[in-house]
Amino acid sequence: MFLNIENLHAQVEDKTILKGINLRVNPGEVHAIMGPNGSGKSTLSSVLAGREDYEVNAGEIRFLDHDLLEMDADERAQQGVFLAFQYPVEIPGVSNKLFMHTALNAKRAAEGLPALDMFDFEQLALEKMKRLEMSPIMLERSVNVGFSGGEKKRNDIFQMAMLEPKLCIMDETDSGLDIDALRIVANGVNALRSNERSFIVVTHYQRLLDHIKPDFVHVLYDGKIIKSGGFELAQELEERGYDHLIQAYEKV
Amino acid sequence: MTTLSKPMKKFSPLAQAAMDYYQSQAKQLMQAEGEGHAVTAFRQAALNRFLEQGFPTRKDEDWQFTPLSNFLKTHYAFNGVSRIDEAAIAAVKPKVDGWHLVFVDGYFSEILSDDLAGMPSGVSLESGKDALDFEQGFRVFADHETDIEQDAFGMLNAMLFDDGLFIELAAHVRLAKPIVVSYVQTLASHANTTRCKIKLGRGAQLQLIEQYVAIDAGCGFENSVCEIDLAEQAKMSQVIWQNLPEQGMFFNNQFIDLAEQAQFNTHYIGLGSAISRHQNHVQMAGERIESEQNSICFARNQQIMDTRTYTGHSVEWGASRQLHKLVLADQAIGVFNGMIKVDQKAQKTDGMMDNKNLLLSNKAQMNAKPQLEIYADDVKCSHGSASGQISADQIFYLQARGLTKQQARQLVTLAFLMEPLESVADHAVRDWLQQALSAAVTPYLN
Amino acid sequence: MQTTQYEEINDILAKNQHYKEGFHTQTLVETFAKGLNEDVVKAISAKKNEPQWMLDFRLKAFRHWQTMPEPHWAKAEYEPIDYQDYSYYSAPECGSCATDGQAESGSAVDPEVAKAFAALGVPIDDSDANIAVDAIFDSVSVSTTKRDQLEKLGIIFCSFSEAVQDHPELVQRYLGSVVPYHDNFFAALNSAVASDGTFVFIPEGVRCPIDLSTYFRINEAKTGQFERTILIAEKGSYISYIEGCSAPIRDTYQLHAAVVEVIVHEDAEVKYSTVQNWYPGDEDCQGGILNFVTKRGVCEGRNAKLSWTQAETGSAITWKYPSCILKGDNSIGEFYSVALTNRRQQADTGTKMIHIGKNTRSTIISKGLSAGKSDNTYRGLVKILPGAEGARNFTQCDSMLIGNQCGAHTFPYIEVQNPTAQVEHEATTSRIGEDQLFYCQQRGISEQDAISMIVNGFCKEVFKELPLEFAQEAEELLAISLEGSVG
Repeated sequence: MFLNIENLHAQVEDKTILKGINLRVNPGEVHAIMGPNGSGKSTLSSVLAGREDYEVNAGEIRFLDHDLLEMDADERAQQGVFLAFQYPVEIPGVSNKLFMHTALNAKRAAEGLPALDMFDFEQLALEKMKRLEMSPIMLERSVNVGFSGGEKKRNDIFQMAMLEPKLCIMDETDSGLDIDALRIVANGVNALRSNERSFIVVTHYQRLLDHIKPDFVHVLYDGKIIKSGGFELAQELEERGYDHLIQAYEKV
Repeated sequence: MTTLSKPMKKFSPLAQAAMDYYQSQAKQLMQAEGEGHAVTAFRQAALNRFLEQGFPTRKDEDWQFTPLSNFLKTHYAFNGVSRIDEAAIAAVKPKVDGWHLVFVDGYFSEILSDDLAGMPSGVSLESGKDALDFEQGFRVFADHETDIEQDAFGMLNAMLFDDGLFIELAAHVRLAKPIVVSYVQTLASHANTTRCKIKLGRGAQLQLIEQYVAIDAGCGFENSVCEIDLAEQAKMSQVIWQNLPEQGMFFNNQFIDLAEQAQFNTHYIGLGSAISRHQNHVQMAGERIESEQNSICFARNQQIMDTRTYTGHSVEWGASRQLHKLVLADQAIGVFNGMIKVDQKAQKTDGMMDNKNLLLSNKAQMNAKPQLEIYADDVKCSHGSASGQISADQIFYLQARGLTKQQARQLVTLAFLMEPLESVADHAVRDWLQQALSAAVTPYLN
Repeated sequence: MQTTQYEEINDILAKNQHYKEGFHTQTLVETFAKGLNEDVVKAISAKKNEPQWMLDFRLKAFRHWQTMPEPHWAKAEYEPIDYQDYSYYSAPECGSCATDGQAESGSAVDPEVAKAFAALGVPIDDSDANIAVDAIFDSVSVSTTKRDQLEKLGIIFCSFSEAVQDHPELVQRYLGSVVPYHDNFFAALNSAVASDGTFVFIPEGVRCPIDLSTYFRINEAKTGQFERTILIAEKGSYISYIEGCSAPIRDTYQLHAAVVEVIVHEDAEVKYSTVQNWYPGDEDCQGGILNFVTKRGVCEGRNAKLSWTQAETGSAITWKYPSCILKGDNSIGEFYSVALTNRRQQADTGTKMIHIGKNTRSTIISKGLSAGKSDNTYRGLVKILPGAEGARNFTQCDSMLIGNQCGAHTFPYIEVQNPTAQVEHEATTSRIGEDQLFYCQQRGISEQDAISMIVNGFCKEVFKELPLEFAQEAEELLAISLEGSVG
């Protein structure tokens, strides 16, 4: 079993947002989660990654052999769960280099691997950056500080490439991106696709999916998945919007 | 009565003489009001405190740059006969459509003021003199006494105020036009001691414009205290225009209490007076209050202009904004002192205080003290203060576009001063202020 | 939910009694009986075999001190101090210690004292090639290393007591020239009972090739340390000077009232770095050091530069404003500070930049970190005098609060008397964002490492001013204070 979400209920403060999510993801699959604003998409990403603001009051998430909900955010990350943020966070004074070096070695330690020294790390980082068409100067700059929206997203993709996660969750990574930046994100994701690595792409629009071509599309509404299908579902949504699905769901 | 066991403070002969004088004036006033008057005990308490504390000196940190010796030299009179020149007074009223009220030499003038019969119901408006005459009326002025009497001029006000305004808006009452109050001085060396109280009920809205000006030989000592009390969701914007003659004295203390979701916005424009000191004490004691305090000061010759703010955030989600700009020419001295205090409970406070100063002469001086005192961790607070001269690049740029150097300097200086007016929401009021400010300042810019 | 995390951090911070330097050295010591009067002042002077002028200076200061009230204006509360309850002189008893001005490089240091310094990582045995050390143990300097090497360059690096004996003309010329004996209460006290300290003189045109360093150690209980440091950089010289300090764990307040005077002549540059790690006391900061220090430097000549860098993590109360008097035209003053307070520590620290000369520049970067129930105050004065044509100051004060039981305050005083001056002050207050923590954790970094990383990032601008090994020490000190912040 790779990832299995069963009957997941979650709330923030007093408001229940997820009302019974069921989702199964196998290695190498790309799942898109779509839905109107307020449907719970970002909450699902946050709960998977282990943000503390959310309280899970029912359900279970199994990831590989772990009970994901029992693990802290950093443990999940070390086990290969990666969240690409809707709004990557700025950390003044902390260089990208130090940040990634620390993160990578934390993961290596969890895997029982020896730490990479600064030289090996730098070599690896520069290789990955080259592939992502990133300037090496980015390594010296403070994490996301003064980065443009596109640079921040690209930085997140760079981190993904460095940490080589097993499960990548893209939390509305496409919001606020222009066409070029969108292409960079999509290319980054496509380059990292493999038989062992799965993706959950959370998005409001179809345009990112045109580049990524997910295997499955799920529509989230009112805290539940109300419809699942293949890539054609995304195309249908693009043409007809969510309303007809919502109306059909509410009638039931 | 408190016993005065502490050794009495020593005062300079100049200060002592002034204290004796104001004491005698307070006693005369109390006598005139008659024994057993509601206000007597109140005045006496202030007087006792005043005799104990006296006037501040430069050793008091809050008065380090605002020496009072020139003020103490003159004993300002509490009597005199004002000449009511209707045309002259009409000429100085702000050119703004509103309910105009006029005070002459510290006293409300019904003849010069608009007929208020057309005011909507739910507005009560009373002169302080009337309010003083009966106990409950006077009591409305006594909310902040301990705070007010922290300051010598607050004490003097309590001892000597003899008129003022009481404005109350019932819940949800909104005035379509501003109330415009002109405090006009016509007498030389006269003391004008007014006390105002403004109370807005829940959701009420008021726009208040106050101006302090003089005609004829008018040039005196203005000592005002204003208490402002906004209930939940009430909204008030205020403009204070001070352009007294260059030898005038201006002290204004405002105490502003804001309840949940209230919005308060104030602009002070200081141009006149030998010594002017404008002080806001804002208490934000409810959630999601928005307050904004701005000031514009232009000082020249030997003017001393002192603006101060205290902003207390005591509950969550308060937002306060401040922009204070001073331009100092000749030997003028500018003082800005601001404090944002955030209590432990006031999480999510967003406080911002900005102070910018332009020095136009070698002998001008600026003293700034923007302060933060913060006891809550999840807050966003910042302050900034910058002092300097007009940027040579800006002047050169304008010259390169064909302006003379003088025009360029005028333009840049005016633009600098005008910035805080951008947040005056009422277009008519903003237009008036921009024109009046430009007219008042331009002759001194070269 | 949000507060819990911080409560947790604070819990752990509070429990973290990890003061590494808290051991006490058992050695034979000579300690004066408690109390302070003219006889004690005379006895200190006699003990050090001082010339009459030095005794006169002490007595003048002492008499003036007696007329002064103890200051309580800073944003720090402490009980009035019983000055009679302290001892004003304590020295390890060993025949040839530096007290008599005869000591050579660490040759005759009491073995217990030597052990203490070794445990603190202070190389008094000349083992570190890049640094010369003056080690001060309670009231006396016990060892000054690398003196021969420095002497060849004409550099004087010795204890203050030795300087009084060997370089009286220099001491007489500069003692009290920057901080007069009547300057303030604690400066007056220091002038009266100055124990020992460091004296540094860099001759014209000499760039001191190694860092000079003083390490202060308060060992005896109820002993005040009143060191006097004078640092003179002659025309065109350069020196990087570092001081560090510590004290054992005691249950009563120990008093530290130092005076530092720095004189920077034309074209000379002085970098003065401090890592202050005095014992902060127990959970309520009882027994910690009261650190009341007057540090001031004057940039006498054109193009002189004085840079103060400090990392303040210790002491129950810190009251300290390293200042620059910028007299020479084009002279430069800098102040870089990190102050971390925890538990009930109170720090009131900042600087004064007095611009007198033309085109003088100053930069102030202050980073205040408050945790626990502490109060951390920046207090600073920037004063531009009328003659300071073209002067510039830039000030940036950032505060970070960790938890909601602490306070962070900014009290800048800005006085501008010249229109051509440009003065800019900015201040911000923030905390470690939940989103920052989550971002780090999501990349696999533990909460504790994330906090430490974010805090060090916050302090980066200041740490980069410290000499390399001290920057590391400062980072470690912060890490220790924030250690175990996840349960």
